[in-house]
Amino acid sequence: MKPWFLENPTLLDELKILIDLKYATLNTSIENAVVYIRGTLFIKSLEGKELGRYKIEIIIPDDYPNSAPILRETGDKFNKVADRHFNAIDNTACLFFRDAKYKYFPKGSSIVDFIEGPIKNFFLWQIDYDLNGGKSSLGGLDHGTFGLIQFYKEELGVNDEESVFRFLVLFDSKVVPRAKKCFCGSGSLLKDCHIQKFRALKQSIPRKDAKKSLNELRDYMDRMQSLKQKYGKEAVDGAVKQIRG
Amino acid sequence: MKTQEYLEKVLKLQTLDEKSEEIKALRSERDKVENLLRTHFEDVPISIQYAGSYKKGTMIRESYDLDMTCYFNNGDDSGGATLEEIFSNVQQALASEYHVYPKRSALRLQSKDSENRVDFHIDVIPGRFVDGDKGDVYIFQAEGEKDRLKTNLEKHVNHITGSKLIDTIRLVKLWKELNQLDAKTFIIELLVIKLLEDTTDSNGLDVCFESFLTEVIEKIDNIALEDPANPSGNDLSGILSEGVKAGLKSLAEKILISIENERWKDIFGEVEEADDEEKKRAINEARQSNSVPINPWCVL
Repeated sequence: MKPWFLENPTLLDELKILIDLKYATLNTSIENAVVYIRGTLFIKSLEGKELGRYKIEIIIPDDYPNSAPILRETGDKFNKVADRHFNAIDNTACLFFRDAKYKYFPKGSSIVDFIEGPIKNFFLWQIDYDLNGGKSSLGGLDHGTFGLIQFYKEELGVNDEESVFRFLVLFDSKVVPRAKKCFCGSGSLLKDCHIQKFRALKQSIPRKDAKKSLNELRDYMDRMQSLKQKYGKEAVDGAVKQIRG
Repeated sequence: MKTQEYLEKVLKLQTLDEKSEEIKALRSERDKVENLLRTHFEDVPISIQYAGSYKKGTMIRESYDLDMTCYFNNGDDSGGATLEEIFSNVQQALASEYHVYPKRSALRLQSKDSENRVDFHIDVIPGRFVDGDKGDVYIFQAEGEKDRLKTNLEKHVNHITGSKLIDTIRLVKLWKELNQLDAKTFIIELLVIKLLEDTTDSNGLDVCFESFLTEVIEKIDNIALEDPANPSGNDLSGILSEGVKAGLKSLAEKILISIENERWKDIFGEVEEADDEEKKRAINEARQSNSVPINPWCVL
């Protein structure tokens, strides 16, 4: 398969032009068939004062623009730890939950939208984290599967992980399963209950991403089930609560 | 604010004076390194001096290292019979207290704690004086065609200070650093002096910077740099490679457009830093203006 920029050279030209026009300190390069944007990103307040400056590397993925760009902070300003929402394995920044891409890097958005949105917000989050002594007031999802559950609970307006699981099972259908029971647990059919929410998400979240979440959640629930059988529900729920802080 | 005034402020923010926390920390660690080396090599006379940008006055806060020499006398084999042995023995001496990361000619010092590795921004350069004059020095080269390089700290310092382009050099270094341009600082310094032969800082920082960029575009393809410490002996073409030249030229072309449009703050950033209250206010503004919540996650 050809790299995305050979398949679609216009897209690369557009990306380069946008970066050059908007940022004097960010530059595009191609190395070993991967497109990088490197340099320094200034974060400013509305009054024009500097809030921070960060050395960054943005990696444009092979299936760009279907997948969102990947960010690394290369200036060693932060410890690359999960509490700061960095993946310790490859030091990449976790800008948002993967299934939420439609919100943060919707179809048609440009690289500049991405830098001015999720990337700048990620650094604002880091500034806030430092100002508050290691806890950001801006929120942030829990790590791993906990974050997955949290995202879908908020998105669906439900309170339990079983509803999230039922939603993801329904979501995995090739068609909209209107005549199936609604994921929320009301007992009504989907068509008479959360059909609009379901349809909206069906149009926004790629099926393969949701499938990944379904498998992850299924594994998690199986593990929790066996732990509960072994140690008791209360003990396991207490431990989970403690982990989530 | 006029451009000259703005650029002076940019450089002031980049200045690490003797009272700054960064310099205090560097000097304190440097003293520990000196003690360690002198204890290890006991009665052997070694020349430990500041070198690099600290000595030349071209240091910038954006990216700084403290270079220090560890030179042995000519004819003295106490540090090792060959330059490679000296390099290795100094490395071993430092390894008792530091994690030592060997570079081309220097030894980078980091903390031993592998879980939380701290880089001290200190490079030790082992070498041996060429003769009794204690000017020229041979240093080991772990990479490259030759395994040794003749250098001279004083000649380098004089070359830089004599150019009267120290502020311009610092500005160009900052520009290189902000753009993560893959070029050795030493080469950038020589390039500024070579390309701005008839110019000094007094011509104005904006004039000097713009002239530098223009000269890069016009002359970089055919330029050959000489090492002031060893003009005919040290080949710098490997360091000023075609890739580095192309990177400099392309960046210079881009930045000249920003200068034409008076977008200096896009090139060097703001000169006023927000205090904590202003940062909090900015974060609140972001919270209110964002239609999508700032919600980072982690795979874990």
